[in-house]
Amino acid sequence: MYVIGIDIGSLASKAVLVDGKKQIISYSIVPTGARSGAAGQDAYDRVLKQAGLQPGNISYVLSTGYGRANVSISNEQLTEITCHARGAYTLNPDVRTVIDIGGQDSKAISLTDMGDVAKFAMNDKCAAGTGRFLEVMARALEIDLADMGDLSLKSTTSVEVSSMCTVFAETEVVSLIAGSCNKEDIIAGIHRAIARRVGTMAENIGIRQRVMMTGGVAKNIGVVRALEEKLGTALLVPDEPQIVGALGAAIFALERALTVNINNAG
Amino acid sequence: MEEKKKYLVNRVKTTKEVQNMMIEYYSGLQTAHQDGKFLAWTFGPIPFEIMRAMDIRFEHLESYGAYLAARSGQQRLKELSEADGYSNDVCSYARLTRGVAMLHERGETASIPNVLIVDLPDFLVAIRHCPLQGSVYDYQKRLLNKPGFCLDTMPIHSEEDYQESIRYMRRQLEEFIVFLEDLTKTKLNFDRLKEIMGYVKEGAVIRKRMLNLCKARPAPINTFDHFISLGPAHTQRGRKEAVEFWKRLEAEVEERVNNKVGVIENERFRLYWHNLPIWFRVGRLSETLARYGAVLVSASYTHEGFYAHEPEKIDPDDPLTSIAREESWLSWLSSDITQGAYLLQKEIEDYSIDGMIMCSHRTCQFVDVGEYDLADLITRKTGVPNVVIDADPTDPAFYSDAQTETRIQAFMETLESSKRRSAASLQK
Amino acid sequence: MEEVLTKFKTMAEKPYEMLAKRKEETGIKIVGCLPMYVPEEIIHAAGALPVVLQEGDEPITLGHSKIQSFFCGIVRSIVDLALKSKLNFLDAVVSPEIDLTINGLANILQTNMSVPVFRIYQPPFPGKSTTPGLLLREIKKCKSDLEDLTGQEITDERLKRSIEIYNKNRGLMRELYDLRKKKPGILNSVQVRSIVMASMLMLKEEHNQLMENLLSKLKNQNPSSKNKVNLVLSGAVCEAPPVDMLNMLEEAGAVIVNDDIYTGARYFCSDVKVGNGSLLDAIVERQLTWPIPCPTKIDEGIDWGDYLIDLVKSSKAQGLIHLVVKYCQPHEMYYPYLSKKLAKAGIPDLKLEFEHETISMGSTKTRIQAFMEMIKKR
Repeated sequence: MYVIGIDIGSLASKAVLVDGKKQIISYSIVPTGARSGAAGQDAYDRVLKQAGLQPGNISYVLSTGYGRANVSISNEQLTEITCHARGAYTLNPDVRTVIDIGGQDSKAISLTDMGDVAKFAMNDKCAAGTGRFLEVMARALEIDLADMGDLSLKSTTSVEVSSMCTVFAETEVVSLIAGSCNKEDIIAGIHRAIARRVGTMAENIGIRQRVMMTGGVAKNIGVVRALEEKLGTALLVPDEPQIVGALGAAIFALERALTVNINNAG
Repeated sequence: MEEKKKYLVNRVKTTKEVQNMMIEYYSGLQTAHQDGKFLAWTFGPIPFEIMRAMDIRFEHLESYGAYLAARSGQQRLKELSEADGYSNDVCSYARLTRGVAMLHERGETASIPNVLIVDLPDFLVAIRHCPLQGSVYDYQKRLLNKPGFCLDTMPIHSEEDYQESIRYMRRQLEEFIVFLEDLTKTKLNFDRLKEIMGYVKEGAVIRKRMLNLCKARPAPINTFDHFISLGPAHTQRGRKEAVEFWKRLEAEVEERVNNKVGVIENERFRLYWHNLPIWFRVGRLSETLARYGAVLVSASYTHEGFYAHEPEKIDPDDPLTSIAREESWLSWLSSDITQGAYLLQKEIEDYSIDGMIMCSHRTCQFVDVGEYDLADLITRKTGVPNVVIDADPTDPAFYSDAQTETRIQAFMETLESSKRRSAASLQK
Repeated sequence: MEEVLTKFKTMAEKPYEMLAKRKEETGIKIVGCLPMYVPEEIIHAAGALPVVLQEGDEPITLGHSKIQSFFCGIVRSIVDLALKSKLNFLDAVVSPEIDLTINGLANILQTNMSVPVFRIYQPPFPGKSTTPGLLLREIKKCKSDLEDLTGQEITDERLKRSIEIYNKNRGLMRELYDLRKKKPGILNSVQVRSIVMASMLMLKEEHNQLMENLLSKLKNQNPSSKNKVNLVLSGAVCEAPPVDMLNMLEEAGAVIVNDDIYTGARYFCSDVKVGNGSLLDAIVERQLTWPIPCPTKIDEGIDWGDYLIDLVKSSKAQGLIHLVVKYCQPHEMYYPYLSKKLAKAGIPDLKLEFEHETISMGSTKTRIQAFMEMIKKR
């Protein structure tokens, strides 16, 4: 049995193909662009190709994310909150708190012992506390987004970025550069700012061990460290943190497919 | 070669004493219980005199918030309260207080460097001057599960309302005293209260005289200095030490007036500040203004409250009426645009004010509503221009140095060019 | 029944145009009441039409010059509409002086409009001995101002009649809410919102007729609410919740069975009890014994958290939605306290914030859907 979970984020669309034993067979990440339906289809086609399968082999497709309603091939949709919780729990059943920082939003989810959602909080009204914040800062500093993590680890002096608004923070960063602050120190300050924002949201729903960080920003080691320091705990970071939502969607798809099977068999 | 001065602003020396006074005061709030005293957390311009007469130590929300912000101690406290579910739209003072209570809950009261964390209270006292102070008092009281008393104020739009308010306040003060006596199992010594009121009056009269000295040119003292020396007018009033402080400050300011020593060397613009100060930027903003030859000569916060209005009418033998009059006056100022407008117009004339800085605070909304109307009205009537800046009293997340300095610079350019224009028209 | 419901809907959609038209056609004196708790009976007894001012649906433009953007939507909107001359049908404004934003609004209207502003300060301390005396003084002052405005003396006879009409209206609304509790889904939440809002915008005797008509038709309806999640709404003090938000809740599978919002139960929860004392004393008594807690009041005798737990249980609801008006500090201050209490009582809750500018559909939908997914799993 094979199922697919598709997560249409505002910046990237992800698909995960899973077998009847919950093993990940293939996964794909493509830019969403302006047309989420097409991106979903693209991600879907890629995982099929990588697995060497045909659409007829797929028992169930479940979509999630911002563009979940636009995936014509999906049988059902669930929110990314429910799916991230399930995906994280599948990767590690000890997880009870999930912190997801995506391109344009961030969320904190508290899990029950069964891996269901107990509580959640979202930040999606404002860029601060999201990947977008880091993008804007990287531009202001004239560095590659991908280098921010490693550079921040070289910081020696504490520099604070206190503005809550991304636009204000950008101005703040520009004046810090003009004031001859070290780039590494500024980046570390930026990471602490995002960690404060997201960490506070997480504390709001209550931190329970173990805590997993997901989403593209989890690939930035500097943010991970800053968040660990803010929360006072080590974070679990999966090898591919961006696909956790799609994985969760795939696991739900599997549950649905197995139920249908039982019904049909009976 | 002349040495480049580190600071443009020639600050008065006496105000340095305030820091020690406040450290002593906050230490007293940390050790209140050890010292066998009752400790109250208070909100709003409450009648401290009564608490002082009963030897009850009191923390004050707004003063403590100012202290925390000035020492950069507010970040952790804000985060704690926001983690507890408070939106950052909520009054920054309220978030700080909640943060302090949470530090106690977590046993982390020593965790913030450079600040003294006050002990948890035995009870809470508030006066609903800013209406939100009632709500802050109420929910904090429920969370801390302690007894409390909240005084009410009524909005005032006429002389009749003002007289009704004095009666209304007086009755409540009597009930407040009963509450305190029941709680502390002691009786209020009225003679002690009269003595304290005597010091309040003495201090307020001297302070008023000194505020008036700012009418001189060049201005001998910066209103930013008045902001940071509010302690003796506020939480410390009624103490003999506060009166001594005002005497010394008045002497220093008088000397400057006599010798024509100004706060800045080349005084070109005299400004007014409307609304609360930005507690974490007091020093820096005074330097910023000084760069343009501007000095702050007056402000709503310092010149209109804290018994600055008719202190000679305080009657130490009738402390409750005196207190009721002051609270009612504060209420009148904030309820009705006409009182505030009248005072401001007078100040513009008396202090030779060239421009008004209207500070709009993001989470401290009480004075914000109607600020635009007031600014428009005064500018229309007097021709004195105004600039609006966006800030918050204690939360730097809502403040941008760059944005503020741009607006101030633009404002100074406006003042500069209108000065040039009027000089040119005089030449013609 | 459709006809009656459409009447309510039309009034709720374009309140100011409708009122301006009514003014033009009948010349009736219209007195605008700022939210909340204005004792409208005295206005009604003076022969005027009391209306509770609502948030407009236009984007704020001129309003920016008189009020900062970080205030609640209804206040900014009313300032904006006043500056655009869309409130010129008003003959006076009455302010209940309940919090700093409403008090400030009254002042801004007084400065920028040519209509008189009357104020009734309502000490938010039901337990204080000084409260009834002051409240009575304030009501008497306003009564005298209204008599001057309309040239009509507010006699005891007239006031008694107005009280009876208002009590009847509140009774009919409570009947509707009881019916909704017993038969969830009998009307959707947007329809209920329109009904309550219409009451705030027309003469109560007219509304009574429409309500009696509606109730008689509803009594025989038996809606199905299978697979629906019963929810209670809380908050939305002063402002009516956005129609889009209510629709989203219902589209996600919720049915609203009760509330404590102002454009809801809070408006009609208690009556003026006419007894042996004076009528004004009876009005004062109603203000002091409001059964629904309010974040602008300081009342040791009542706890909003306990009230909500009770409300959810007695309405047989499965969860609660906090409708929080952004920048409404009184509500935002209590929200964490309420949420904790509900969590302790095992009641799932969701905070939905809204402001004047259009709510972000996607993010609100996601929150609502995630909440429903959470509840269904229990």
